[in-house]
Amino acid sequence: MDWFIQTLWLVPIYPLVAFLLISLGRALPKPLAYDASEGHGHVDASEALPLLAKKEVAFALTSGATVLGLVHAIASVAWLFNQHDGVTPIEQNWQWLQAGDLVLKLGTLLDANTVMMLFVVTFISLFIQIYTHGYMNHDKGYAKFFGYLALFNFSMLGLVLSSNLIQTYMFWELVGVSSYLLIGFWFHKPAAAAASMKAFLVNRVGDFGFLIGILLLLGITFTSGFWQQYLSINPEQALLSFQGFMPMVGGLAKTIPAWLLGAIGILVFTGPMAKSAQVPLHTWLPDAMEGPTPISALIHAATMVAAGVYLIARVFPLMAASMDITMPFITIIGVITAIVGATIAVTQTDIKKALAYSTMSQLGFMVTAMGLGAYTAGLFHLFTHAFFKAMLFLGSGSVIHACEGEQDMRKMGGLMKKLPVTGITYLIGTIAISGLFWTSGFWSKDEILAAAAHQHPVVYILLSATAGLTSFYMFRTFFLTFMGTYRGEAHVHKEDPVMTAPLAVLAVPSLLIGVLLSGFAFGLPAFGHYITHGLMSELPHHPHSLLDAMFNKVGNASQMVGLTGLVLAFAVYGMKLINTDTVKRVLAWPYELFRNKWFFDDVYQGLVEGGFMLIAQMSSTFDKVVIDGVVNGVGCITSGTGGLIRRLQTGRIQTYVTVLGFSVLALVVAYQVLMVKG
Amino acid sequence: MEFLLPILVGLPFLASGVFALLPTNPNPETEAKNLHWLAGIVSTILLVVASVLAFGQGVGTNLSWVQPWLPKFGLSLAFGQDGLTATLVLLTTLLSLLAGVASITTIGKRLKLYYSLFFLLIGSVLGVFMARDLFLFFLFFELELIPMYLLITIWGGPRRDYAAMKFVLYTLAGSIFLVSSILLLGFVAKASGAPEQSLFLFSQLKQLASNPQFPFQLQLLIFVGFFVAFSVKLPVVPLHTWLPDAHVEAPTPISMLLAGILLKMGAYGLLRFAFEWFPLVGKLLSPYIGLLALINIVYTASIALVQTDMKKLIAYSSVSHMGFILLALAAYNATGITAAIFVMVAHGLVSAALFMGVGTLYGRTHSRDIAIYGGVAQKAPVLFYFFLLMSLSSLGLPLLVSFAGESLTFYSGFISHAFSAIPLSSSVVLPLSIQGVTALSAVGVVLGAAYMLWLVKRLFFGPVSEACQQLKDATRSEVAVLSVLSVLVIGLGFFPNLLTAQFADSTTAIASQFSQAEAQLQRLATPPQSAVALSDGSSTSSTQP
Repeated sequence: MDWFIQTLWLVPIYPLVAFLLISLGRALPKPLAYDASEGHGHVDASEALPLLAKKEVAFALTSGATVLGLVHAIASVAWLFNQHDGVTPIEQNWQWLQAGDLVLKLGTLLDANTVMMLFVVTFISLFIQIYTHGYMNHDKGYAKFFGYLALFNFSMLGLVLSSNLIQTYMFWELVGVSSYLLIGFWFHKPAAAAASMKAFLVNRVGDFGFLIGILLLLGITFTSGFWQQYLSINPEQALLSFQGFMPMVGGLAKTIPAWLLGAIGILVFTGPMAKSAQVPLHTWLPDAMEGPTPISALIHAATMVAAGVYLIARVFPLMAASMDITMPFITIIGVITAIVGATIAVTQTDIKKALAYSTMSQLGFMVTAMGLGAYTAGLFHLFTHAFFKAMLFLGSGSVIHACEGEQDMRKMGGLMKKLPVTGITYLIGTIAISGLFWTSGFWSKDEILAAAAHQHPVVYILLSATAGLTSFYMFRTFFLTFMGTYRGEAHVHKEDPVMTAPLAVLAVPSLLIGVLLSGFAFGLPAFGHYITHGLMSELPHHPHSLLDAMFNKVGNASQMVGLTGLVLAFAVYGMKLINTDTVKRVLAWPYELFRNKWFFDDVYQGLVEGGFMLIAQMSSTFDKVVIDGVVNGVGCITSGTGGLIRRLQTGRIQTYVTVLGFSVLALVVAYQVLMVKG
Repeated sequence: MEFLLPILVGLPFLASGVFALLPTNPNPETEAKNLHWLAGIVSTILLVVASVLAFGQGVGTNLSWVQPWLPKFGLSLAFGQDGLTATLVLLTTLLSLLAGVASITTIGKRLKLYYSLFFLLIGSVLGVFMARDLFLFFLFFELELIPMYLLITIWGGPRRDYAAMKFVLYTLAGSIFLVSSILLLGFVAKASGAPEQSLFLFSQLKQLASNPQFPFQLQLLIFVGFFVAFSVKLPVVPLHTWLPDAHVEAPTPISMLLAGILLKMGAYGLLRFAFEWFPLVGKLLSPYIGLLALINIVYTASIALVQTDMKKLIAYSSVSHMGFILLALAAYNATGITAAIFVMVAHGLVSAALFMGVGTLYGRTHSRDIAIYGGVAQKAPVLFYFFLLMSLSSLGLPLLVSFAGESLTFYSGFISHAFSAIPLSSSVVLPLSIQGVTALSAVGVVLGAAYMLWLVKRLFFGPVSEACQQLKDATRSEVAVLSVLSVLVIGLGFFPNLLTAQFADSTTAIASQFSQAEAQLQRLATPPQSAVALSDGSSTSSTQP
């Protein structure tokens, strides 16, 4: 095997090493000059720092590790192209923990799916790190931030490369904790501290279901009978390995009732529900915007939240095995999420919150695609969305940075002149996410809509309407931020080239990657073809030309809907033909519903405070009053008796011995009785 | 190498005597320094001897050293080592060293007496883990009460007398059950013709217990006696209320030892006597033991959530984690044993560090009330990172030490056959299975994250509170202790096989007991009226004298 493939496990190790080195640098004793300057916010004294603690070193380590990862991934793919048939996945495993018959393994699995995610994660990470260098340049926690970024990359790459479900669960939790650390990066802000905790806990609720799902799978399949009969897995492969999922699910379908199989599917799906912010476990994502904006772009838009969709694709045989239970459930959750996210996004005034709800809505699209069985369409949307949503978030960060931390769109406006690169790339992103003019979002959303149109008219209509809404709220943010006149007080700074360069780079895939992988251009195969047939399979013959594809029925309809959204947004926020206050008055009831985020947070708060914490409080009181009360009561009686005995004897040791003596006596009697009976 | 066994147990007792008899130095500062150094040296020697014993002849070497003591009563001085003992002895000696270092900043008065009692405690704990004679075990188990009682009453907090007395009375109540079981076992041994002068040797008793002729009712009685006795120590709800009080009042190093190793005596006793020797009874009761474990995990975790006292919160979290040990044992398979021992070690490291963390804060502000804290991360970043790491481990973050134990616990429950082997299952109405209680116990994963992260948030995040304005970061000795624990928490988290290999031989030995019991149960289950035969002990015990 090629060196690059053999050492694929190094891909997550590079950033881990970077993280450890940066942590070490931060742990080194700092010279006094630095400590003195820290209080005043100057980092001029950084020259006195030891080498490892310098911020340039932190940047070099993290981005260097990312470049290494990217190169390694590309080299592996190149080798796949040249040496291998490109269809058979390559799996390697190493024993991690053995306990009795149970052997847990960590490994790497390389197939088209992995390659796609590896590329997305390392590529977007790299540009976000460059951007962060500008964005966080004056922050005291610069090195710490890059350390956490490296930790995230380690966890995310480990998750992407996982060869089995148990390993996935481990790295799944680790990306969660990286996200926790980064959301709470400015932990002195109470909102950030609360948001980070909420994110972790909501995800833990999802992981609870996920864990039970894994346990059920493990418990049912971990019998020698099942292994021999259904899992002709070679011993190299790991427990619950993804490659063995197909035969395993086949065996399950024969051995357990359908409802149980469906239940397992739903339980495993709760993990992605939390991580990919699906209703009702979505409430953490908007709050997570308390983290620095590069994090919102990387973790909470492009990569980690998409991990849920990726996981569904990985365990797709399990989901698809239950066409009556799991798949409809996933579809319904996806559609609801798409609608809820989009409707809330319309009412948001905070630019990052609007984008967060938009992410949630788009994730709903992807999950719906999974539920409809069109999982390559879902992955395709994940792929294109990663680029343009990362770009949109970075654009919003550039705006916030220029406006001195202002996030309220009502205090923006007319920024196109001051921030031309940001404005133009933001517009490209807006067009792409609205699925207009054959940008990348058009092609991926088209595939989802086509699948829906093909399978379920109701889903299709709901998704189309949501797509129109997407176009409306996204252009709303664009018009409010970049068009009209400036309404804020903050002095607007100029753009920083370190931050605009990544925007420009990300604009290219946002425009073109869709058509390139649509399967109709330049003889390149479709994205879905890569995923299902591997990288080197023969190209399918297309009956349609690119032009046909551009003007297909579903596509035309969605473009019309999208344009309607655009025109409406322009009418309301561009030309001010319609007064928003009138709309709010006329549509008071839905407006309040959407503005209050469908009351999810309020209901949860009520449940936690009024239900859950109350139960906990009651347990605590029970413990204190009842259990300890009994103990103290017994104690009183004992000490009373002890007092009596003490009059006869002389002190505690004697009491003890007496008690022992009596019990020995009792035992002798008991023994005699038993033996005599025997 | 065997000669080191009694030396390792004897050394701390010797040290205890030396500390008690040391002449007083006129300069209190020099004296304190010297005493700390001496304690450090003794602990280091203990750690070295324990390491030589554990690794000297390769992992998994079983050692034993037996001398007759009071042959008239059937008692012998017997010490031994297998993987389980070696693991716990290493943990004990390591924590003894670390708790000694932690004493530098926390113990201010009567140092000679303190260290004398400290080593008396360590000696009796080592005796508990290394004894190979049941009566000797019992003596060490009881002996540990005296130093613990005094350490809490002399160096403890405001309600120390109440807490210490509660601790002693609770344990004594448990001891009544323990001594009953031991004597019963002794009687049976005697009746079955075991050699009089070594009546209580583990090897004898284990053999006796696995004799299929052993009357089932007696097995049940003895099992229950052991179970109750060690349930107090572990502790198992509702026998747990001594623990929060003892922890809250004990000084920091003693809290570290209490959580780190003293609770493990309960787990050790359960595993070694109740579960290993009487697998038949335990297997039958397994879902009910699992139910107790579930209550332990979920009930105490939810109590931990609403605590306003940070030390009490960590104490309740300890009880919750001990529930995982019980759950893993109830699974009755090799995976479960591995999980249980792993949790013992993981909790020993993590809880010691957490108590050290809150103790450090308490030392600065003299308040355990969470509400007065806030923004400590800004004032004490070093302490914050250590505390965060330990909290993340405590909530079961993968690649940190607790995760392996916790996840193995869940896995062991789900691959367990404990329930399916019960011949009475059709007549037992309760729809209880080890899988069911394991699944419900997983709620603990959510609760554990909730109370830990909420604690971190209230202590360390947000703006700096008034009480924390002058808070100082961790001192050098505190950093040293926390660093050692952190290295282990991360190292064993990444490479858990290093730890499981250490006690693999014990796992195999105990698991073989389990599978024997399973085979026995299956034999019994074959005829349709097997349940009657099983419960009617008279028919099987009639062959006995």
